[in-house]
Amino acid sequence: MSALPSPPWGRRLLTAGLAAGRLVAGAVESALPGESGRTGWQELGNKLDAFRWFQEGLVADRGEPGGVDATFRRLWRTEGEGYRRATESAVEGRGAAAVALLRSAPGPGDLLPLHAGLGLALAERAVQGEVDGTHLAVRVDRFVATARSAAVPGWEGTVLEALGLVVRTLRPELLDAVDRHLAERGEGLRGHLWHGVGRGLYFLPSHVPSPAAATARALEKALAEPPDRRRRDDAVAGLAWALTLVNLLHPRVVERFLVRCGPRLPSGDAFEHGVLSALVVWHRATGGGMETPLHRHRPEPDGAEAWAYRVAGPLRDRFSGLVQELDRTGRWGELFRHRPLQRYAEAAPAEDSAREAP
Amino acid sequence: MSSQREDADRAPGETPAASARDDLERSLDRAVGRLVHALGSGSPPGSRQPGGDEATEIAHLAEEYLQRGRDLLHWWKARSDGGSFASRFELGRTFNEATESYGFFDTAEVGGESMPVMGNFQEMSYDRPKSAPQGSGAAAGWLRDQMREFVLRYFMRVSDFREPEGFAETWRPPLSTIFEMLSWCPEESEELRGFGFQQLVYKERGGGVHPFRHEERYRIVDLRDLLERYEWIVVKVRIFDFRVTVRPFGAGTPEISLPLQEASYLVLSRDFVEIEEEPEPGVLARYGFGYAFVRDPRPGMLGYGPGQFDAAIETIHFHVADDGSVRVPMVFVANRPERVATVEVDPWRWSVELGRRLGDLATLGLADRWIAPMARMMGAVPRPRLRFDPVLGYVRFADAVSGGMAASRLCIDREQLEKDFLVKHYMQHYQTIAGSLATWRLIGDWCDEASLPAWVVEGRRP
Repeated sequence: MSALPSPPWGRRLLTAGLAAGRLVAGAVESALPGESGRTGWQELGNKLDAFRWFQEGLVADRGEPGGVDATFRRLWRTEGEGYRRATESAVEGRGAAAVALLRSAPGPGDLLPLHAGLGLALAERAVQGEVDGTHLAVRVDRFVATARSAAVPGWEGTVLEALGLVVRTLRPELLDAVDRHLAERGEGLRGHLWHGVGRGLYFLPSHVPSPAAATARALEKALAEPPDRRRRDDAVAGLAWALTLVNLLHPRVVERFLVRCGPRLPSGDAFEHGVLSALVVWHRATGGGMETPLHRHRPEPDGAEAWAYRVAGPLRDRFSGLVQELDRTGRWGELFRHRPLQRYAEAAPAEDSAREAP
Repeated sequence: MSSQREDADRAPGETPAASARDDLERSLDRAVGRLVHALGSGSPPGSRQPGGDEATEIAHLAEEYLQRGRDLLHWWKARSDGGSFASRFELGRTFNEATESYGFFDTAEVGGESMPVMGNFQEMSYDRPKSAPQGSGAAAGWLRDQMREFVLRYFMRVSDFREPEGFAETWRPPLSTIFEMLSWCPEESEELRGFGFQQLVYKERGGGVHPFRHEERYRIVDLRDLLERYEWIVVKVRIFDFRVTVRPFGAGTPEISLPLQEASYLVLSRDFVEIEEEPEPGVLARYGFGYAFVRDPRPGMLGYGPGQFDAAIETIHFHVADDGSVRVPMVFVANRPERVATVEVDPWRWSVELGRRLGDLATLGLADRWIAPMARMMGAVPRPRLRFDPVLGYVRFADAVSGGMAASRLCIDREQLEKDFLVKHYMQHYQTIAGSLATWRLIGDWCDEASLPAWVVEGRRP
């Protein structure tokens, strides 16, 4: 890695740059005549916002009144806080400090973003510096072990998934080797890896110059890069997860994506799985009591069919069942790889003895 | 999928141009991703991460500096009983004078070798209960119990070596624009929420070295735990605005102000904990603590000051008398400096480093695989390097050109510089104790933890 200066003002510079980019995106969005162009710039602005809140962490969160917008910002800030504190933690590897970080979660709604932030920090540590084949395998094994020991039981997948995002973003040349090693381990970890890859594809900087086509380009890669169909579904689910969560307050972005790229989505329910997973994250973060614009969205006529098929229908038919299943098993980390939604039936009557995940 | 895919690996229908585009995009993603990571995390991937390695390095040094501290403490106890030093001089304040205070120069045995040392001692009146004479005995006993808890459990959580930093609570909606850079709104800083001390790592008796949990870093352990549970703990203390001023042309002329390191690492052990109850007639109790300074493992420009001592200790005790009055004797002892600042003149290295950074910035790190090895090779070229201490160098120069008059008549000598250091320490600790008095009086009952404010228990503002 280059010896770029890393002064204390680096984060401020980055945050200011993101804010400036957000301004530009907003200005261009307002000026463009066409819907698709405007939506693309709106989406770019949403990505920049998410990343900026991630960088800010929870220090910027104090004193904000509640509401959908504030809760949405807090989601990203909590992930950033988890990442920052895991990155700065101390002596005995990341595991002990990571456990302490998660045990200190202020509320159950913070567990998911904290795990996600922790995963990013652990994954970055695993792939930093000079890495050859043997060392990579050792590092990946250590990452998996730390993730499993640090995560609250049932949340391991949330931490593991970050490896895919980090590798695809920072060390794409290692992706093949990591995938091969996980395949040799044979523990079903590849699903999380490729879900993370899909999530990472959504945020790639190389897509920034063409905002209107960014997610379409990401989808192309999600379809082309995975080695087989199952991993492709994981990648598409990861991409859909990111697309949905980033644009939760601007559902028209999702709708326009479906209009433009819906026909290219693979058969199966990978996309829908990603959408529902993101909505479960929101549900978990808010205790289930807060709807977003996406929940209330009324699509345009040209997007109504796709919206009903890909979003509204699964939300109506599968969401409650998915939440109940996760509540029962406590395996919230399973959100971070594709599983067929047909196993989650329509909502069943609530069970008094349903297990409450920590 | 990899950047080195052969034609055979290309997907059916995929052209070489599309493959090349993928490779280019991947390289760009990688470069930008790492640049963003470098800015956002404060260190590039592959570099030393803040926090984690800092504590590791300090932990490795703790034992060594603790032993030096023990030697100094032993020396001090032996020397202070007699009260005579190789050189002793008065230290004073313009008001709120100590009941007793002085500085000294001497030689101590540290690590089996003689070490020139310097230090200061001061004893302040701290408090006296306002109660009727006939009730003063009960009040004194109650005060002793209060002081025990305050000193051994809470003092390090609520004390600071700095002046309080004022701020006005200001909340505005988050600025999602570039105008944040122009904003006058106070910047929220996690560091402002804690007081002076942060605990980093500990070693258990018969156990290993472990970090303190992040959320416990301001909740300094009860010092009584050093007697049984902990062999030592390492804390970090912030001392802002600790600077030494040098006026080469005399009073009233331009001065050079050297900001000394703003944070020091300290190691505490039971050697420094004092708990004595009714040790002698007239004294109800003595409670106190102290620490040895740990040298900062990261070299910097400055050769002396907090974080740069070869050996140094500080002790702060609270003596409660029969009448309830409290006195605070404090001691500071450190090695005498051999250098104050180090400036290395190496234009070749500066040029190589500048060239490397410009190259990285211009290519967004894409050319790093070529630039870095070249920079390393060029940096290894043998060359003479000039190092000098501008402060002591000036002192020697002044002494040489004046034939000794600079020292004898103008106080431009090392000893004056050392006295200035001691005065700085003297005043810093006075501020700490004086500042703690307000907190001591604020709480009605230090023994009732349930009634204590959260910021006292946690050592930080919520």
